[in-house]
Amino acid sequence: MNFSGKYWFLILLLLTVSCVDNLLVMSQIVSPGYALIIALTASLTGWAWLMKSIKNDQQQITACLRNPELVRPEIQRKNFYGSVFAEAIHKMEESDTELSTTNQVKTMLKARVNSLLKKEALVESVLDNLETGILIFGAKQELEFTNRVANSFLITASDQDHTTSDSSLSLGKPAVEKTVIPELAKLLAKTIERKEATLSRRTEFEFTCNGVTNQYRAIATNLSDENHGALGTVVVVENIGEEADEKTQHAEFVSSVAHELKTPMSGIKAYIEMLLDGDCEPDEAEELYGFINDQIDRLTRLVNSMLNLARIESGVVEIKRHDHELNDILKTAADVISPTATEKDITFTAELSDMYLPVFVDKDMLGQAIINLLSNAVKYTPNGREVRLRSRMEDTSAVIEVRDTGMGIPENSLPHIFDRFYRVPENNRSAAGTGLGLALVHFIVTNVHNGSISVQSKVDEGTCFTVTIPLGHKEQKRKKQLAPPANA
Amino acid sequence: MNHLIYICDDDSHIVRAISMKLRKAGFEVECFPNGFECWEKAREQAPHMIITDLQMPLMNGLELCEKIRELETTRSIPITLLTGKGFEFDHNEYMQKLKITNVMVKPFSPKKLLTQVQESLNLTNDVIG
Repeated sequence: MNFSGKYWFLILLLLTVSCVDNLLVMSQIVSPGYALIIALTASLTGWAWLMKSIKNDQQQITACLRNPELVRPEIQRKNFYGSVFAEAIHKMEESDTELSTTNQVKTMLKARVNSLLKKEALVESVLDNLETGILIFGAKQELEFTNRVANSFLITASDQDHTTSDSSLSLGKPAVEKTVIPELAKLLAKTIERKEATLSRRTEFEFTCNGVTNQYRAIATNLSDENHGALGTVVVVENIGEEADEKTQHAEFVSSVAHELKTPMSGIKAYIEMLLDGDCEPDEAEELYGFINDQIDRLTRLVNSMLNLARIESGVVEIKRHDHELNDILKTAADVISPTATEKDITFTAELSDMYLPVFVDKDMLGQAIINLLSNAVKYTPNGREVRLRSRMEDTSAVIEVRDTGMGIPENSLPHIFDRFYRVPENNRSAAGTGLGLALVHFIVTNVHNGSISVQSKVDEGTCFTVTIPLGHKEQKRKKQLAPPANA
Repeated sequence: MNHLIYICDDDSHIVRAISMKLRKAGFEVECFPNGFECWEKAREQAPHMIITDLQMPLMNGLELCEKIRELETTRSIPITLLTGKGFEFDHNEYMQKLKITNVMVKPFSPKKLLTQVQESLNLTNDVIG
């Protein structure tokens, strides 16, 4: 029962008791003295009941104030103290809401901090796995962060002066030259000094780490917030050794191509000048015209082979893969190379498999690849020795072997022989070349035909290139799939 | 006595063209496909002059020049270096270091080569032949 019910119940009880009293007095059943005693007893009993009920409510409120969590459902009801307690309860509820909000904020903050820590660890791990060095400096040039690669550009405690050998202090020092190598310190100082002129600066330098000297490029960029306030500077250091190597290789390639082009051009020029000057007899002149023709053919071949590589690699040439028998392609390639081998007194043998080797290939491209391998074998094999071409079936592949008994390839050159422009330094002088032949072979075998190529070699003993091409005709299979069943 | 000239180039056409031009001018010519064979022969019989290519198998033109300058009998003979290289080859450095008399860049004129040979051997057209 709520507080108003109790109140009205008491009033009604007292009214009823006084009415009953009056009736009893009026009908002279009881004397007025007795009626007064009855009325007083009823009033006192009602009052005592009401007081006890209010005390209970008070206790509940107190309990609720002490521990709001426990008695929340019961306290929702109103009591005798009406709006005063309702307001207290409301206030208490409000403070309770604040309390729970604080807890929620704490929980949210914890979650946020955890997620940020995870992200930080992820970013750090990403930065640590980069091949590029990252150094971040604060607004006061203090080193804030370095990734794994960039650690090698830091000056370690042992490198520093003995008086400043405390490494824990050195990282936070504004004196950048004590924390990073001079090249980076100089770049950083200039970038900050000239920040009005340009946002970032770059420098290239040579640096030796663990006994290996490499070429590096560092780019320093000033960082600023939305209001253009300086946040610091980030320095990105890249190893440009490979880039430099590529440039060198490219320069060597151009030089090599120039040499290859100039040689036939020299012959042509010399012959033509002699013909113009009338230096030769008519029969000699005829011979010279023949030579000029040969030289022009040689130039054409050279230019074509360079264009071929460029076109095949760039995908300009249409790949025409059809069903073929591998040995047919190998025989054609062998016929092309055979005269050159004979000229060099090299024993050239083709041991082709007796089995039918079905392949789905671009006949011309694969043929060119085999000719390149055979031509190399003949070129780098001394006169009088041997070159062998073999084919066989192995599981689901057709295997082609080109084995020579030439000068071989040193072990340190083996990983590079399929690189464009690469020429084995030791064998470079023994024959002319552009360093494109094997690059083209590799591209044709692996990219065009999904095959593989490997090489085994021993210096002064010889080299063996092994090419594998997936076995099987595809056009016939497709035709069979497309054709309606015979008995349909 | 005719002057003996060694021509050294791995390209047979260049060797043929030069030798034709020089033979017609009255020189005695011997040809080699690489520096090594030329050097072997030069040790046996020193020529009056050597015309050599730069890039050759086994022994290139510069290595040949070094060997020739080391050998007492060939130390002072004139050498003409033929090269297909352009800007990347420092002519002056090698000319001074190896005392190369002339450098001719390919494609070259056989007529000019002949003039240079004559100048190097201090010959005039009247004397030759």
